[in-house]
Amino acid sequence: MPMLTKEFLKSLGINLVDEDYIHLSEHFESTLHDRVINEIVLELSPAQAHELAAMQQAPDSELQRWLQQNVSGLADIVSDEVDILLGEIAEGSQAIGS
Amino acid sequence: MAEQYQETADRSQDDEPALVHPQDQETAPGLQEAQDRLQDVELLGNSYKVRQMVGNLGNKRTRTWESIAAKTKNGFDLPGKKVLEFRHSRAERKHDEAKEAHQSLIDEHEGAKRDLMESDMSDRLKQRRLNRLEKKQQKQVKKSQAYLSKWENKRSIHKTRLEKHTATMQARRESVSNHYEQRRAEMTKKLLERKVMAEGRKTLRAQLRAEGASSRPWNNEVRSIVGEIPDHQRKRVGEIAIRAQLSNDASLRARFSAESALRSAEQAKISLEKNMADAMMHGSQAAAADKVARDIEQHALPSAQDRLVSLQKQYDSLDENDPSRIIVMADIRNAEAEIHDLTRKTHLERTKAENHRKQNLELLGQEHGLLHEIVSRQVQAEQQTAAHNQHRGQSDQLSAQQREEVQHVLNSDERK
Repeated sequence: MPMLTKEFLKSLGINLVDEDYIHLSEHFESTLHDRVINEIVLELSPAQAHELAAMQQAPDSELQRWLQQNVSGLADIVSDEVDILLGEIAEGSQAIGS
Repeated sequence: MAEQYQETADRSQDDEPALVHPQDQETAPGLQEAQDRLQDVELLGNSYKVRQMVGNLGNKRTRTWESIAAKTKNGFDLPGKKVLEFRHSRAERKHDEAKEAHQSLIDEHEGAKRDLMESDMSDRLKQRRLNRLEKKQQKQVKKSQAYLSKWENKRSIHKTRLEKHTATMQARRESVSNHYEQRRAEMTKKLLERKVMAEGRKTLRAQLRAEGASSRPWNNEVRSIVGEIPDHQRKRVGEIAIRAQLSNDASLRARFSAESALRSAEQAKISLEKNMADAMMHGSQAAAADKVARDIEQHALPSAQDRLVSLQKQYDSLDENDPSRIIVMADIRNAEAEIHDLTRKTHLERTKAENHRKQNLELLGQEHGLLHEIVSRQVQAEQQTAAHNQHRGQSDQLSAQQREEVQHVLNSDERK
């Protein structure tokens, strides 16, 4: 299930063909991932950054646990980035939907 | 369209230093394919808070419903509109005909006058005939004018009715559109407000970090370390962070639901205990009332009845002139009154006992319901926790599979 549904976009007056919708949806998620990690990095110390860099082969569950233990305000970071990105879509809804 | 959005997103990203690994800028086809596949799987497989929020909006459903309602009402009004259209059209046609006939009549009169004036008659005769002709023509014109006015009025009335009817139907259609636009504007406003608040919090975090910059001299070092992490791995961290948050939210929701269910069960238990106490009280009060009634029936009432019989015998045995008869008669009346009171009291106690038994039964029925509620709430709490854990387990498993797939492709690319 995509984060951005067509229904949500339509509620903002954005009507896209399937191909554009898929691109937008993918771009939304990719951008969100980038922004979240960029924000997370700002909360890390060098030692934590080294730990994170060393966890590339670690399973998701372990990485998830590490993030929850080491990143203060992780919930706020994710929630804020989601809100900001959705706000940007709402802001550009006229341009995107036309 | 997506490109326009890309620009918007990229602009916002410029606010923070980019953390792009140089090696990742040239993405291998296999890696790109694997990332695309992973992204597609993620798009289809993940569950997000946003999706849940979006699912609740139901904007389109409301619009569809309103649109159907308006169309249905307009459908009912359509035959009326057709009738009004027919009447208006008929009035219009009749009016045009009357107007044409009126104009023809005037032309005809003008022609007759002209013919008369051009004839060889004497002026006096001409004048006389002209007067007669005008008089006759005036009557005809007056009649024709009345007919024309009649259809003008009718046309005007039918036109007004038709316009009103059409306007009502049109307003219904516009109302649907306006509501949709209104909801869209509200939705946009809400999202923008949330964005502003989120940006405020983000800025505040940045300010707090800047204030403590002297105690955090490592920011550039951290950027450099994290910059060494390949792009797909950084995206993975971002994705896991989002999932961690969502998983946390889901856990909280499940916990709240379970706690709520347990609280309800606890409340039901308290009600059950109170009910049981009340039922016991009603049971004992019913038994007490039964005992009182039984005591009266078995002891007091027979005793009173015996006394009455005895007094009646005594009364019968006394001579009619014996003054004691009056005293015995009074005792008889007292005994009868006592018997009456005892009977009434017995009846009262029996009714009281019956009422207590009814309340007892009612409470027992409620107890059954409460027991059922307790059990169902407890089951609900267990199911919610179990379902959440299962969902979480499945989600982790799916993610692990996806990761393995991507890692496999990445490893094969590296080997190449």
